[in-house]
Amino acid sequence: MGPRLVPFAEKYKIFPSFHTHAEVDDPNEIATPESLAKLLALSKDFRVCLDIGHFTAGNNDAVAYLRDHRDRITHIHVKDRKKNQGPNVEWGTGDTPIRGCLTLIRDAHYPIPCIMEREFKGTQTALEETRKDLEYMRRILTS
Amino acid sequence: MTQSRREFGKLFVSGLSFAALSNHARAAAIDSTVRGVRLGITTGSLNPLPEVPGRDKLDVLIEQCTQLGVGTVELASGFFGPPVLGTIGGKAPKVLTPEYLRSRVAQREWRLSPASFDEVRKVRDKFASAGINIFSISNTFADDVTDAEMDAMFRQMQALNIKLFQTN
Repeated sequence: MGPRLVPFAEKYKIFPSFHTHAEVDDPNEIATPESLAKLLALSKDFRVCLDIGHFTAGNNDAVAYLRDHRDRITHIHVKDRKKNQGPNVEWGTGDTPIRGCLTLIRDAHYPIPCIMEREFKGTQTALEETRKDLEYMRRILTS
Repeated sequence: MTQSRREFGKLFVSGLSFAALSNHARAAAIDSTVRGVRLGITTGSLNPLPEVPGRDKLDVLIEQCTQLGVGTVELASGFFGPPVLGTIGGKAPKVLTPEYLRSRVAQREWRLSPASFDEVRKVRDKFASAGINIFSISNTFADDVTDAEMDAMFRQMQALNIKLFQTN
């Protein structure tokens, strides 16, 4: 689909931001720095929505990618997963460098919003689980 | 912009968000920025939304965002138009079922109709009235999408005043 989006993105000046996944062995997935590089080479208007949870589950380094490609990243999706294709888990118990990513964005003043994408169900209502995760991000940023 | 813990979720006018709102629907924007970092949610984070008899799901969603003090959202495209049945991650299933094909035709017709633009503008104004910025939408393009449909989808995003969309 990437190549078909190019003329529309140019015409309307609206950036497609490709969401990263964890399926690193699937050549059709956007899951590794290499697959992202190929995609970004298609158009100067293409961007990345770096899902730091999925990226970590695919054993990629989210902090390094964020630092090295910040000019092409529109926003990050925040969730917590375990490495080696591990599951979504309660925030703070997984391998995702949530703190590392958020503090890098804060301290280096990157204009990159942090958008939580709740995939861990938890035990409370969706509203309360979302509130808890927002509070988790806020605590990191104010610490 | 530095913001203290106590200030999180406080309502005030944000110049950047304010400029993006339509003239007739401006409201004080909710700013969920903390220490210069803009925080937000994908609207899917709030799924399943509670069923409230007589109330539109979108209104329930906006109310919950307001309760959370969230001023930035990535809106799921499922809030627009008829649902497509049997998709996998927003994409067409490997085996195209009759229900998928029927619902895709209905979606395509809707996207190409003037009614779709009316609905998009209505959604935009509801969020603007609540002071919530639609930062992005989640918009996955099925392999069977036509060029005319793609053009309509981009025009709808233009009507939403967004500068980017997240796609799979």
